[in-house]
Amino acid sequence: MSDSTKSNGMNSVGGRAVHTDGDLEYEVIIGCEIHCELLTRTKAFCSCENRYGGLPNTRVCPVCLGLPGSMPVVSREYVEFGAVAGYALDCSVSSFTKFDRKHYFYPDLVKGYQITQYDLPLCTDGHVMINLAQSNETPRLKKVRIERIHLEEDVGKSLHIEGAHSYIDYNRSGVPLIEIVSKPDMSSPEEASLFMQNIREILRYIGATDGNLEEGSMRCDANINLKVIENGKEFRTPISEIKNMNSFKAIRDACTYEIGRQLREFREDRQVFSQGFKVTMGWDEAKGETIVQRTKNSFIDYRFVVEPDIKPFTLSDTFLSAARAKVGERPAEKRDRFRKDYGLSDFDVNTLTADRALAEWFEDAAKASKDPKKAANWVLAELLGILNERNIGLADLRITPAHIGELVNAVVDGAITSRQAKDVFTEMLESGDRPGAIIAGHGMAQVSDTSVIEGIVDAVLSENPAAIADFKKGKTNVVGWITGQVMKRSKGQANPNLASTLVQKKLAEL
Amino acid sequence: MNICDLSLVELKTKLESGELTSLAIVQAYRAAWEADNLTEKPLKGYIEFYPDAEDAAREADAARAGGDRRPLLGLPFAVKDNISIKGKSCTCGSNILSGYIAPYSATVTGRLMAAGAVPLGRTNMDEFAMGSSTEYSSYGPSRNPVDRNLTPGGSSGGSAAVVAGGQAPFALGTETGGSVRLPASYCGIYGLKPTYGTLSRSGVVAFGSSLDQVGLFSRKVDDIGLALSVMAGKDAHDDTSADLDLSSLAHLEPAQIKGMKIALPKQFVEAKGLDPEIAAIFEKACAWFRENGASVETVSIPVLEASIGCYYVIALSEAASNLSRFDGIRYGLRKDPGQGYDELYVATRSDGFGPEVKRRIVIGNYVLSTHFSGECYKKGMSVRARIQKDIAEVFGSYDLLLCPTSPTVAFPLGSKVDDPLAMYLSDLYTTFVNLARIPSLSVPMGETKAGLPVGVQICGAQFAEEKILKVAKAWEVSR
Repeated sequence: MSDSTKSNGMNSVGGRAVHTDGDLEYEVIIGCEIHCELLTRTKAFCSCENRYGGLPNTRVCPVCLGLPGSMPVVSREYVEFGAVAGYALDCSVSSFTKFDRKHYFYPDLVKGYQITQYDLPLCTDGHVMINLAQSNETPRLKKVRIERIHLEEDVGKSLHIEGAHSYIDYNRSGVPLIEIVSKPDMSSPEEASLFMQNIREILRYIGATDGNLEEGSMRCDANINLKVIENGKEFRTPISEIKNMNSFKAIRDACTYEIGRQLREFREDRQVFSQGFKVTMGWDEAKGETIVQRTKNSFIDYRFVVEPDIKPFTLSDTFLSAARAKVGERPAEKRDRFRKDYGLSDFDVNTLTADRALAEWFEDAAKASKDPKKAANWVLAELLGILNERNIGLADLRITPAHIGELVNAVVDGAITSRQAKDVFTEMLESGDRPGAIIAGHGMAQVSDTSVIEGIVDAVLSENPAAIADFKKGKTNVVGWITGQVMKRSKGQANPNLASTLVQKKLAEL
Repeated sequence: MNICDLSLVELKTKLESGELTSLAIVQAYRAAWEADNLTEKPLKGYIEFYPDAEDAAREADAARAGGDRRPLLGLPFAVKDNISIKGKSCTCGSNILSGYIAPYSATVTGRLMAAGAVPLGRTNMDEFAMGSSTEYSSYGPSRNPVDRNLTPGGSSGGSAAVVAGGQAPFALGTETGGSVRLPASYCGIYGLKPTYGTLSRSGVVAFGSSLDQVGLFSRKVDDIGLALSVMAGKDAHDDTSADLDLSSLAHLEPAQIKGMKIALPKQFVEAKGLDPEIAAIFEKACAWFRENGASVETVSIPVLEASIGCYYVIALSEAASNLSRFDGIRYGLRKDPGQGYDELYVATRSDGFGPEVKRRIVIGNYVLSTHFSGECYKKGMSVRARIQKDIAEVFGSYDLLLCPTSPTVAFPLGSKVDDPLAMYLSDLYTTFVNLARIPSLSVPMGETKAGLPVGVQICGAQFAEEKILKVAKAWEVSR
């Protein structure tokens, strides 16, 4: 693309960056729809297991196959997950809701309609704050509004294997989804990508989804067009909807490509946005191009109708407050608290909270220790390295947060030196033994007993009269040498500060 | 004793006393069906008389010998071709479901069989229950046992024909707008449309889901009570099923008519199109209620005038939606021109559906299209809400609502088949019941001079099945 945006040629007007492209100025307008599969035990409307994969067409029943006469029954857990997700994204959750049918024909759609929510979505009016800053910078937050979140069943999967036939796997048919619809608040491909990252982080945090992008647990559609300013006149380019992107990179690349394409198209044919006009596109990752799938001419009339097999239902205050309580602490809140409570840097906080399990592991270690900052250092500098190097998870470790707490305390209490702590760490990682046991087992406990160290100091002094003579002549630097001898004789276990103090004290007394 | 003349309850007594075996009963019905098939104008109520019906009967007899005392053990029933029985064909009288074998049983048939009942066979119907004569069946029409040149009514015409024609003591049908009561009236038997939710719809192929309900046919009112007593109640597979216990209906006492308040809807009983002979029979029925101490009053329910229009808007919208799943991809008929799935859909649905079903799918989709931006359907829903409210109010002041089941008697085969509007008007007096979700029993209350049966429907408030059946019982014992 011919975008010549430079940082100094970029103005912020109403929160949206204005770019220049030759004689044109333009702003980018992006709204996203994210489909996210939920981690409920069963499918949305039947008791089939909700799990990815399996032999094709083995996790199916008359309901999710849409056999004649079968009827959907809403899983309570599904509605609960939807409500929890809604609260996590700061939405209002409706106490009265219903389902509708959306009709279209496709082989992977078993009933000729999808059960969804049309005019009474479960959740409305939410938002997330996306962070436009780099992870080592102070956060620069932007609010992206969420228009609605509704419940919707997933469809089967078409498999186009070589040969004359296509195959369909209905294991995914009826898997519970939420569709999150944003307002068109994003003004760059990066923001769109950050939006999806943010949603994914939050929904994974609250356990609503595994967010597994490769398995299609989350897919994003981006609606994108441009506000072009030419000689002071404003134009809107036609909206493109890029469907089914399942990586952050795909969102960035597809939107970036589409901006260039829309600018080119605007220069070529001047086509502008008209109400109801939308081109549906796919993103061809290999070619790096958006591909037109459908234009207005092949417009689908979804013929929405109330789902008569599911009674409209109310959600009790108890149900809703339980859902609200299940949200727990969200990533941003946790980050704020870690900064405040533990005095950690933004970078450290971001690293520690990137994964909920890690954050909780750290926090348990911090709570077990007398110095949370030191606990953070162990986790960040040592533990994460080990996890990466060995490609294992926290659950694979033989140590618990309590090990780190105990190790930190041993150093803080002066029981061992920092150097010794490293050895203890290495050993406990392999054996899973508690630091106390390791320290005792090796007799490496630091000696802080004054009478023991005094004995060693006396012995060293009596063996080195020359050094005493030097000291008396005013050569105070022998203190260091004598202390070194004391440490050596104690096999490094003497508390170095105490040893130095005692050496000086004894010399002064002589 | 002709086994085929006995009611379900009479058969039950004879099975329990050991006077009859289930096998003998099933064999008698098969013989009646086979003999009828050899006549010049066979009833053609059954699409299929199950080849293994006797096996189930033998099992029931063996179970009884082993001390089994389930309430319907060994009792036979026929089932409309749109209600699933595991391992049996279920085609809805349609080509598009040819070859489809149900892999699971509907809750209603499952509960009947769990109570020991034996399915005899599946019965003919208008394709996907869309029609009032059974003529829109891909298997060809059924005949009316009273006069074989007439239709038995529809859409559950096959079920009505086998019960009235002595080929089954009891049968299941389905209703969306009168498909049980109309054929019951035309064939001179009882036909109950229960309250929406009394019976589970799971396994019953949907037509208009917010209106559909399984119905029951019998020659004696007790039989309906007995069957309902095991079929009703909450079903985990149907969210719209009601949590209720109708086990007390296994034994019906006649109702005390004295003191009852009965409403006659002015819009129907004073209507111009009402056959004078039917009006006279209806008047006699009203007189019987008066003589027995009930007060009978004509009430005006203006919204009833809108019921048939409202019904078709809602029923056809839902039908268009429900029938979307028949696409040739997973089961039933597939016509594949080999040009991709769009062409496969068009070829399959063009060949698979008959003209009446196509007409209704087209109308239903038109109603739901952006052309109306859903307004037509919404308006239908709001009229329906009004009907529900106004009818509920009537039952605030009255025990029952009485009106003829149909403005006409059974009509000759072929007479309306090319006039869909005339066919739609057969449902004039019945659709409000489905819209209002109330129960209604068509009771055979007389005959015209030509000997054609006339049904009168006794409607009650939601879940007033027991009251309705007991009133019908009082009428029956007074004959």
